[in-house]
Amino acid sequence: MSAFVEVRDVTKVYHMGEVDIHAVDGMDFEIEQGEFVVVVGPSGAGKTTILNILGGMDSCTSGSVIIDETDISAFDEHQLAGYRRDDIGFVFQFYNLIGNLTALENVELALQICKDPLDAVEIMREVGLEERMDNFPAQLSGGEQQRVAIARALAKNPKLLLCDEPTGALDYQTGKSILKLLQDTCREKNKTVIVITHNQALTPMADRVIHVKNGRVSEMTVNRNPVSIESIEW
Amino acid sequence: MNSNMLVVDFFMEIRKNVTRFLSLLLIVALGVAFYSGIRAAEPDMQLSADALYDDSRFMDIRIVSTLGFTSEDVLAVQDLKGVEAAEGFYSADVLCDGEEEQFVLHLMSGSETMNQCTVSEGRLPERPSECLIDELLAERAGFKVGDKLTVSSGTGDDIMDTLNVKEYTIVGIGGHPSYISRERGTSAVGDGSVDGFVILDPMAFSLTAYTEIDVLVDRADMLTSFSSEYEDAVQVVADRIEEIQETRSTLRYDSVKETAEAELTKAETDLVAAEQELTDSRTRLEQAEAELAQAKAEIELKIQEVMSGHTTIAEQEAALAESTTKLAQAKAELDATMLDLSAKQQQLNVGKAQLDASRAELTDAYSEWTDQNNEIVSRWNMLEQAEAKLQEQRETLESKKAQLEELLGQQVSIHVEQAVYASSAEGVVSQSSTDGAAENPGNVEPTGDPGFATEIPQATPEPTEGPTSSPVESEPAPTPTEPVGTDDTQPPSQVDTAQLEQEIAQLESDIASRESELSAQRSQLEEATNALNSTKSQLDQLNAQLENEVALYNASVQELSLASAQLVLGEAEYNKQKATLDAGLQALNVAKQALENGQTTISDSQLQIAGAEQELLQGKQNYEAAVQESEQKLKDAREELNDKKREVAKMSVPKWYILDRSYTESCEGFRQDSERVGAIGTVFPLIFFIVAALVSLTTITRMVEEQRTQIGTMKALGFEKHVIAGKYICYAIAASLIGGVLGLVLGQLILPRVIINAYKILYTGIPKAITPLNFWYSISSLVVAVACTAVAAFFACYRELRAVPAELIRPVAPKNGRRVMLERVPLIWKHLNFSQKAAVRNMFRYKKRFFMTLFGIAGCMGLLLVGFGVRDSVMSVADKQFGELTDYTASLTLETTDLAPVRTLESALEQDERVENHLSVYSAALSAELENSEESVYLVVPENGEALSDYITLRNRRGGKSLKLEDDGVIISEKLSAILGVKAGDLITLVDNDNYHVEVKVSGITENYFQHYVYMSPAYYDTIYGGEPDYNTIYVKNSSLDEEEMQEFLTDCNEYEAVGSVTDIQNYIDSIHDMLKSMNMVVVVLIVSAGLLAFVVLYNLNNIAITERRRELASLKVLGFYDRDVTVYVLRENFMMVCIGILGGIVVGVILHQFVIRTVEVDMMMFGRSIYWQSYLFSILLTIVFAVAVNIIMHWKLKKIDMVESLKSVE
Repeated sequence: MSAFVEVRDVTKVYHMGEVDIHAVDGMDFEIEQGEFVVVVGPSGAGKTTILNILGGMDSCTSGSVIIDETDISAFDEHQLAGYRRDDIGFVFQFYNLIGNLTALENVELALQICKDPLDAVEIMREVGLEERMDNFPAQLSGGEQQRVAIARALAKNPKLLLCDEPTGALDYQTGKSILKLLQDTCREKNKTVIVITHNQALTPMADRVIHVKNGRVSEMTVNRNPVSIESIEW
Repeated sequence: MNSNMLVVDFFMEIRKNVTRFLSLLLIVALGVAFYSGIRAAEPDMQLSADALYDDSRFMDIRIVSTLGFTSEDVLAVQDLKGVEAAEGFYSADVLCDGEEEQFVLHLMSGSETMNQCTVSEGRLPERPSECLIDELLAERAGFKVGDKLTVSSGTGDDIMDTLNVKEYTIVGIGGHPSYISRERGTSAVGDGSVDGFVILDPMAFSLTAYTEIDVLVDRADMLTSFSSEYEDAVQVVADRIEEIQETRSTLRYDSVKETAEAELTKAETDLVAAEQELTDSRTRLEQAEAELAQAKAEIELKIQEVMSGHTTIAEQEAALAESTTKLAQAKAELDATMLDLSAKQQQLNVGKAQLDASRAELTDAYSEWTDQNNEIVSRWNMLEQAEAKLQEQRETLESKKAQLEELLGQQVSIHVEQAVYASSAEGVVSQSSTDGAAENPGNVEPTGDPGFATEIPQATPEPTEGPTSSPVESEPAPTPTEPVGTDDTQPPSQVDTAQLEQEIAQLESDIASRESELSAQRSQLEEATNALNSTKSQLDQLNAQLENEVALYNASVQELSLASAQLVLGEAEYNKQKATLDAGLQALNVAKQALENGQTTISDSQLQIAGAEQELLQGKQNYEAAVQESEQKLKDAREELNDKKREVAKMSVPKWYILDRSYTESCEGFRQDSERVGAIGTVFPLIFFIVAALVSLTTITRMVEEQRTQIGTMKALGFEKHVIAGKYICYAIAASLIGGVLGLVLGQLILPRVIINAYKILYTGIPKAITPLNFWYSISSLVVAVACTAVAAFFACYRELRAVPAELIRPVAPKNGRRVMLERVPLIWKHLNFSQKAAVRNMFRYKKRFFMTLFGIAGCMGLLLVGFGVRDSVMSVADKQFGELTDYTASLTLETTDLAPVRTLESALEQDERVENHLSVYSAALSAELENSEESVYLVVPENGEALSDYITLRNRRGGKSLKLEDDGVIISEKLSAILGVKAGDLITLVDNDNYHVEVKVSGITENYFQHYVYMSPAYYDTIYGGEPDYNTIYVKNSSLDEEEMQEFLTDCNEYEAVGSVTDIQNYIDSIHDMLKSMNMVVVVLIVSAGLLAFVVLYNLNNIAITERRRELASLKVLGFYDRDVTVYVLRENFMMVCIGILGGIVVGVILHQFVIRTVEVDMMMFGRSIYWQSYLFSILLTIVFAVAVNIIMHWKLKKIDMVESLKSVE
């Protein structure tokens, strides 16, 4: 039985003028269902690129990406969009909430498009924002905004929750609580969560840690006993 | 170095975002083009007209006068200061019969130097018999060069009073500067509207005075007609003309009055003479009649005479015939008598011959006897002795003889007579027989003469000479006893002879008895003597017999001669009678001849009389007709004369009317139209301009906002504010300047041309569109455009530059989401799905953009609506007027209101299957007045007020309540009520052609779009004017006919005597459709500009919107929005804005439409006030189409948005 996520020899080449930049250069890894995965690496190592590829926002130049037995590397734009809407939940570093919509509405926005959504209010409660549901993003703090973003991602009931530096714009405590939310979600809902970060300190809390360097997986470790985020200090 | 780098940066800025620069440039170009182009259309229109006027040397001032002008007047005007040229012109309105219709033509004299025609075909007239005709007329009536044109006077006046020639050859077709539009003005003749002009040689006119003087003002051609400078220049000259007008008018008045009075006198004389003549001719006719009657009587008399002549002649003839018969009888008698006579003569002659023979025999016998006697004597001598014995016896014998004498006394005398007569007759007979004078009774005639008797004695001796004859008678006397004695006294003895004889006989018998008694011897003697005696007695007997016969003969001769004489007489008489008869016959023949001649003459004269009678009858009939006619004429002439007299009496000093070009209908019309374009030009382009300014402002602002960081950096680097701002201001100026120049050049070249060309459909006389760049509009629009963008750029920069660099470098906080008003209405809000809510919020989030979009869309929608609406309004004239209101399909204008021909027509219409129904109406052109307003209207009075609604729908426009003709008021058309400013219940004044004023009450106002009408019931007409109107028009409602059948029907109608002209309602519809063609042009212009507006606005704003929301949209994509979903997400708000824009546009459009319609509308017409729902639909659809077109482009732009953007930090 193959893994839930299989990345096989994936390369991504950007043509910048006359120079080919190999953002991802033969990456291989696999992730099991329900794992909390942390992808770490320095800036420019190709972790965002691989996240984009996993999230269906970009396609790989070669290799295959199999998500739940489906090879998405061969998907066209439209299939990718469908893949994004049904299978992926995305949490941005800058939350990317629709400023013109309230917190709840931002969640609902996502629900509009997916097949099997969860209840928006329920999710909001779960992320601890039941009091602020009717606030506009501008009225929320960064952590709250990120919670809304997570709620928006979760409400779609995705197979895969991708988080790009979810704490990057947040202060320590808030970041911690966001990570806690993500970890709890993973545990409670058995969601596969992939968090991209440059923060090495977060690796203990992951089931699986993928170290990326120069477009390759330099090391992949499976953590049999991940610790709770509360116990981690950095 | 710095500035160099800045310049490089400036150009890099343009290159980096060419689209933005171009869109800014285009929006400015569009705004400027529309503004300057449409604004320039008004002066360009006027320039185009002015060019025509200058080229054709069209008059600046026209002077008209009630009494016309002399050449002295022209010279007087010519001599005024500031007058470049003055020329007298003739003009007249006449009728011309075309194939189907009658045309009213305006004849004008042509000139080489003024009011020159534009000849499109052929040439100008050079001879009085040539003409140049109106292009429009040629087109309409199908006249070609070479055709003939015959004109007739439209009034009662003789055409020859006006013209020398009335048939013209068309030598040219062209236009006249007086007539640049399709309108040809009105006229007093025909149906009242001029159908075309005709240019003639001045010699073709027989008018004594010029109808008008046209004046060219010195150097006025340098100024643009319609401009106030021009008007001022013309006014100066007009004032100078005004100054001389009194003198000139008085002069003219005096001469005209003099002439008129002379003419009047002459006319009066003529009229009197004519009247006299009429009377004379009546007298003559009467005379002729009398003469004829007399002639007839005469003829009758003659006929009678001839008849009696006939009888007389017949009588005479009978008489003559009788006479002739009688005469013939007489003649026959005469002839018989003659024959008888000649037979008798013959007999007589035979008798004579016998007698002669008897006498000769007797003489012989006597001589024999004598011999014997002598023997006897001798014997006797012997016997004498015996005798002596016998003496005794003789005595007794003597006694006896005495006895006898006594007894025979008488006898003797007779015998004597007889004897005498016999002797003379013997002589005559012998004489006549010898002479043969028996045939010559003339000679017999003098028998009665005494000469004749004298002859007898002469003749007596003759027998003595021949005793042979005479002795025959006398012989017996000288019986032997006295033979000597008897010889001597023969005549007396002859008398005695008989006596003697008797005595002798007695004696003899005695002797005999004695003899017997005496002697025997003597017996022999006795016997001898006896024998002798018996012989002698025999002889004597014979002699006596002879004598008897002679006597008889003589008597016969006598008788014969008497008869002869009688015959001669009878013959004479006969001849005379015959002569008379002949004469009578002759006379009769002559008379007969004469009679015959007379009869022939009579028949001739009868014929003549019959002829004359016929002639007279005819003459009389003719005369009656002529008399009636001439009486009518005379009456008319008298009336006319009286009118003229009154006119002359009323004639006042003429007034000169000094008219400038604004009195030329087409010129003024064109000016008004150009001003209307100008009016539209002030509104429409302004919308564009404002939109353009707003859009460019947004663009510039956005650009500055985008470059906030750069500005901050620049500022941080220490660049001065003005240097930094300069870049953006220069950018704005560069774009707006290039765009503006481009726009004003293209706009002013194209738009006025399009507009003028559209108007050329109405103003066919405008030869070309002159579209120079208008300095004022060019500069003003350019300056405003540049200033707008520059100021926008300045303010955008100013706001940014105020901030400290640190602030600038940080990204601007995203605009806060806000609840909108709509959320307070849960009823709606709750039903909106989430993306709709988002869209609503988005709309209000960027208010500037929202309002700009709204403005653009509303403008677009409004323009479209106005475009279609204007078309609808014009169309509704055709659709509503002729589709709903005017229900009849043709109208027949009657030439006569005489009963007979009209009845014929009406019954024909009744029987015509093609006619559904028809109605007689009275239609007249009047003028409706109220205070200072005055309008030409048609008064319509139906014969049957109830039936009118079948032909014309009378109803209120608002509410559609139908109206009924009241008997105490009129229904007037809507536009008329608007112009006069009256409502139901008000009074208006109607003025007819005779200047007769009546006041009528308005009882209702009816929807009407074309021309002005006043509908009046016959009863109200009676109240107002008194009497029944002359129904002069028939409205016909046809059953549905196709075009061809309709034409056929109209042609048939025209055949009727009563029909003067026919009007097909379809013609009106067609002409309105023609007008629509020009409107279509406007509509197209509006649609195109609306499209451009919508496009530019939407494109620009969407562009900005997308750029602003790039991250948000990328995030949506990451969330799994398909491209389509993203587009829809964006477009939903666009669509909402479009919807709101459309709603706003409808409001704008309806208001603008009303404004435009009222500006464009001419007095004669009321355009529809409402816009058809189709137009709303089309406008909405087109607006949506424009929006969708922009959004399709936006879709491509959205697709290009990279999701990676979402991962970037906020700039």
